[in-house]
Amino acid sequence: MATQPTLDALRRFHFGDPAVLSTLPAGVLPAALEPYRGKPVRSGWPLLVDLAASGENWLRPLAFAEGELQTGDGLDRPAGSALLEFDRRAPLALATLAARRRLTLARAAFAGEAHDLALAAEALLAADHARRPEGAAERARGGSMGALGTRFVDTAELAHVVGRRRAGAPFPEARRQRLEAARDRLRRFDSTAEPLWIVAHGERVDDLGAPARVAADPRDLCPMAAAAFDESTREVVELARAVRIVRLEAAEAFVPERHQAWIERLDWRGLAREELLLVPPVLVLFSASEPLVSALSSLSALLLSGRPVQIVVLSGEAPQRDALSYRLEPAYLGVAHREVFVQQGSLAYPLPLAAGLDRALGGSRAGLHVIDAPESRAAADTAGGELDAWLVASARVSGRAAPIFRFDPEAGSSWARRMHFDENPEPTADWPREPLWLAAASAGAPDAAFTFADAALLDPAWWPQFTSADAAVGAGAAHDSNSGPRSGSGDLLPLAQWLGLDGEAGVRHLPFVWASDASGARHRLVVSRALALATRDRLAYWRTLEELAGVRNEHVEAAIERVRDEASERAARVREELAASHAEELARERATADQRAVDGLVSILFELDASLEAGGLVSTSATPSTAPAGTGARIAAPTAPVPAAPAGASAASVADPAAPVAEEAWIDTALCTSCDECIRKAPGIFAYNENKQAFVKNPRGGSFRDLVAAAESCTAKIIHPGLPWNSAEPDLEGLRERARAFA
Amino acid sequence: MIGQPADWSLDVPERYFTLENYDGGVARWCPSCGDFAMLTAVQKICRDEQVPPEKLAIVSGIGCSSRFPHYMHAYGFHGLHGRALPVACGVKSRRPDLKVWVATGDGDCCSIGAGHWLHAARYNMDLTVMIFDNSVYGLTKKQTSPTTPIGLSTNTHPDGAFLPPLDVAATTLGFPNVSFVARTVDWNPAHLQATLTAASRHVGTSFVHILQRCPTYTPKIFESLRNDPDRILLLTHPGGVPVEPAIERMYKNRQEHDPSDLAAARALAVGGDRLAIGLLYRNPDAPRYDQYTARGLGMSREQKVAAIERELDRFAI
Repeated sequence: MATQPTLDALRRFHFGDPAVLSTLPAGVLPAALEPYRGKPVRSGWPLLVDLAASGENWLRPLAFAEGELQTGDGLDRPAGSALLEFDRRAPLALATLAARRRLTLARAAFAGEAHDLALAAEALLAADHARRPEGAAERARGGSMGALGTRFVDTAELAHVVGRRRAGAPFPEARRQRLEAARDRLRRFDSTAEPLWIVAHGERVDDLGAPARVAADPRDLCPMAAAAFDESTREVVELARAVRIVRLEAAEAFVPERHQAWIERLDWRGLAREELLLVPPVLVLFSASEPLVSALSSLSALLLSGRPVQIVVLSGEAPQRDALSYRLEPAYLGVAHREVFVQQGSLAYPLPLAAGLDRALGGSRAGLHVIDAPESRAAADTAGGELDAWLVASARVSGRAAPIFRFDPEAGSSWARRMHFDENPEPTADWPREPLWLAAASAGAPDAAFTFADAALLDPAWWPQFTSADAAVGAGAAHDSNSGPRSGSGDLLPLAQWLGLDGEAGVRHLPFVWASDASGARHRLVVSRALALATRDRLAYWRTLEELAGVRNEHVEAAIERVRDEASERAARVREELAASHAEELARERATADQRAVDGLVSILFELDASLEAGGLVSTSATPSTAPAGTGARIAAPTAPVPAAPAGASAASVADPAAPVAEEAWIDTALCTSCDECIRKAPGIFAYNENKQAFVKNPRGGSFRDLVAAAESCTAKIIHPGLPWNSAEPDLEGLRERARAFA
Repeated sequence: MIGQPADWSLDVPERYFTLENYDGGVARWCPSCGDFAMLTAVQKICRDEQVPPEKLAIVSGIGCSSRFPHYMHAYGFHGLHGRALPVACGVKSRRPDLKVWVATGDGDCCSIGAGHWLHAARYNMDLTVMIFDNSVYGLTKKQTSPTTPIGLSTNTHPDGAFLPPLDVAATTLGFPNVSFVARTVDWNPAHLQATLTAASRHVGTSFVHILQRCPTYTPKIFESLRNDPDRILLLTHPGGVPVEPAIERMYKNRQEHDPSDLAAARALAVGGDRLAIGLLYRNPDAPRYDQYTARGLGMSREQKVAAIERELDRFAI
């Protein structure tokens, strides 16, 4: 049991006094990872790659595919499939496979089209040939009939019979040559091609099965890639020219003055998206962020040139020469180029990574893929004793050292559509919470935030930035004192909490992370200021990404707050208004109740004497409509004007207000069976809509007689003639009578 | 170029078809004939599904209904009496890419063409068959057809038809390997179109029995059905003919009917007091003969010549 270091010593360590460095306990691990010490983890690796499989099935964790591949006592992998192991080579292999898959698909799809177009060119040439004198002679020889034909047919006789020239002149020489050249180019199309790697000196890609070119200096990588891309587009540009020529020629639309120059000028910028996919992808490899920085200007130039070159950057934690400097984020740099596909991924999450690669290679933009990959499998072992390498990579994702995101400009024009961020653990929180391992009482273990410093503990390069605050506490013995966040000395704070402090308080308190050693004992490790600030730097980057992805956006939160305030304010106002109008209504009702009672009485008395002029008296009432229903209606009826009744209308139509007659003609359009009757009878009135069902386009486009006749002939009985609009029409009375059946 | 679509290259503009693209000219049926409704419905379905006219074949036999192909702007085949279905099967067997519609009538299909009717159902090729049932031979001016109701006076039976009529849907449901049978009426355009749409989407031979009014010879025959929707039983089912709520409300009598239940379908088709409309039966898994007949379609010219040579060589001495 070591002695308890003094708070003063810890404080000096925290502010960077190298004299206070203490060695860390053997086999130290972040406490959250203690349960996995020395245990294999089912991480999803190795991956089964099967380029022949359709859709997204080309890449699957072997563990998922195991069931269907199991035959007898072993695994029966599909022919041509391969297994990918978790190591530093995996990102390159993934990129190569994704590129090869996309390329094969695109070129196989185009092979059929090339064949068809070549046939079309051939057919045009054959037709031309037949128009030429030599073609006719050949026909006479029976050359066009094949072996079978000549056996049974006297071709000389046949030529005599059908030998007349067909109409049309032969092609001009230039056209024939153009077609022949295009045909030959299309025929030469070879659907096999390989992606090409451009790498810096010293990187190995020869085992990937794809050709590679080596640059001596990282600064040469991007210019070389641009040149290689231009070179590899040459074949596809030639093909594209041939395709355009044959298409135009087949449509008899090729105008040399208009098209010749355009086709000659065509370069890769003029290729359609499908055609760009035929170009063997150029892949560039930066083995770390540093060479990328040295090649920054040429990288920008390449990304902005629009060449769909895919750049793979293997990132990792940079050597900690200066822990206080801010870290460069190559992916963020890529996003600044706005129209470039950018993804930051981790080998710990291979499926999103592969999906991103696949998406980029299926698009027509440059791509920047920053991939967090372990230095080597052995590195993990030195870090945490025997911790699975996948867990180390996963911890870097959880600790926000390698957040996962994808920026895809082809997904839409807004950040919400472009930015994809969901694969991260707990994407809406600053840090994911991990259950804190307790040796004795594992059930109900408290959570602790898993910060960048926790992840850094897995990297020996960071170890000088930690020192133990506790004498080693016996396993399980001290969980009572350690369960609270502010246990032990009040001046020690968990790092996640410490990051939330400002100025003064940050100086007073010391941040720590939980760790456990080889014996399972737990320690609080005080973190140096340099590492604490590095953690804050990662958090700032994380929050930037969150905001860009629309998670926890301050503008949105403010807007929500504002809208909520406005809504509640409006609701309160409406409530007040309602209350006021209700009170007003109540007061008025009270005031007029007496008056109404008197009016009612008067009405009843007047009704007894029908000769009296009742209307005038009733109209003096303030609220006639609220008079008792029976009496009021009976008195009002004789004097009320009848608005729609024309002179001479029969009393019946007026006396039946329950069935009002519409003024204008109308049709139940949905029930029209398109029998053409009304259109034929009265084309000025009826027309078909875009569904070929009749509607009244102009009720005054014909006479009322036409309308009534149309209604009578309509088999669906859906035409309603309404009322006549022209009172001068003859025999209106009879027509109205006939129309009544369709009211 | 970044951010710009890279397609200032040659692009064939996309085609969009309107009703006019399927219109084959002025339809000449009697004024207010029910056939107009079917013509419009088929045109609308083709428009909605954007079937290119060159991928569309309409086949018919003889009769009023069989004038249908003339009024569609598509490939058409106005066949012999009763022979619409064998022609359609022939078209489909070597041109599986065509969408084939068959227009036939109760006279055409159910008497002289009855043998083909049975075997077309058995072949179950991917056709959409509309059987226009106006209960009479109309084109030849009112003779008794297999569906003429007892007692209807016709030129062949002036004292009234003597035999009980056959029901098109019920009979079709008795054929082996039948895969789709529905019934609808011409005077409800929405239901008609929904039914025909379901039929055209079915892969296999889909028979649609359509009650069709003939204003000239049988103007009154469906009058009571038309005027009294309560005499109709609307079949509903999530897997059946989808109709809008407004159409559903028109019919007070509705019944949920599972279209995979053949026995229930037969009982409903024979019917009682009410005429069942909607999807009676569907079996998406019935074997299709066009899958067999389409074999070898992809052969190149050379392969075909070689095959013919091989065949002929067998007879060489």
